[in-house]
Amino acid sequence: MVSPPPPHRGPPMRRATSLLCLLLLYAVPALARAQSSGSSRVTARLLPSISVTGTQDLDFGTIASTQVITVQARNGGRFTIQGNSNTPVLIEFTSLPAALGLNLGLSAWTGLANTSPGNGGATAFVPVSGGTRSATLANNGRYFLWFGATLTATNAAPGTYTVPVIVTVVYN
Amino acid sequence: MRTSLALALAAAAVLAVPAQAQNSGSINATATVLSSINVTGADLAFGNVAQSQVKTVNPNGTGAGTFHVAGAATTPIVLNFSSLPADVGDAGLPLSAWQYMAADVNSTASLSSAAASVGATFNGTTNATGDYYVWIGATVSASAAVAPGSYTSTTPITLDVVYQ
Repeated sequence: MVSPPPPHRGPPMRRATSLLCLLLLYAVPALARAQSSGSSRVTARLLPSISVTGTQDLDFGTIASTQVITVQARNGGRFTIQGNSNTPVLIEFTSLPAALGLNLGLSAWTGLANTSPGNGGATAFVPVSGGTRSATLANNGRYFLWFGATLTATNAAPGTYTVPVIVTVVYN
Repeated sequence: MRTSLALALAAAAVLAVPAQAQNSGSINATATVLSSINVTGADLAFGNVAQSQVKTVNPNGTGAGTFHVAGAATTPIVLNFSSLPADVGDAGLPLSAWQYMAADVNSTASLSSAAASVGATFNGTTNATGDYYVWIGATVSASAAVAPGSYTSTTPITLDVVYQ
């Protein structure tokens, strides 16, 4: 009685390679399923430019070399902002100068803000140089600001003095 | 390479938005400084007053108070009496009916008077040498009980002047 020969299984090295191939066949799809992709876009809403126009100077008029004079915001400097309607903006008081010249101190800045050109129903605020104020432009995209301050002349030299008051506006 | 280009375009788009959305505007704060204004005054003197007497010194009369304003030449000014005494240092010597005159010449000739009150402003213009003049008078009503003596108001007559 002779037993049939055992089935041929190949050499041990070949069997190991086959097993690895099988593992890869299962593992690669599994790895692929574990990885997901995401994407985002860069978005921006481009609005019409904002214009800020100084429409009236803050004029202290004629004063003596030693005198204190206050110009109320309602009678003071005026800015008109024009931009996109009903849009929030951030108003920066870029430069509210502390002096008009030597021995001519500027202080106690006051402000009024309104969506209409008149300052009768305007909102009062206290602006600080470098500070900001949030606002929303009107239906017609306009916004108005008024500024007043106190000028203190202390033995100032006679002459005419001018210094810029700057406001910057960005969409919020 | 394509990725880099896309990122560059995206960055450019983002950076461009704030630049277009921002704007600044400016106005000027301005003032013209002139030489100081000097105001000098002389007393309103009623002279002798009897008990129960009512005595008036007109702005253009003897004893009227006077002010001399010296400032920049030919310049508009705003004046006001910031204080007027209620009496001549005693409640029994009340003052009333304040009147003033003002001119850019040192003369009350042809001037008319106006009522003076605290805080009420009036305008003037200095003359070619920077001078302006104000005269003031009032009425004192001495009571019968006021003691004889010399009296001076504790509150001064104060004239404030600023350039217009």
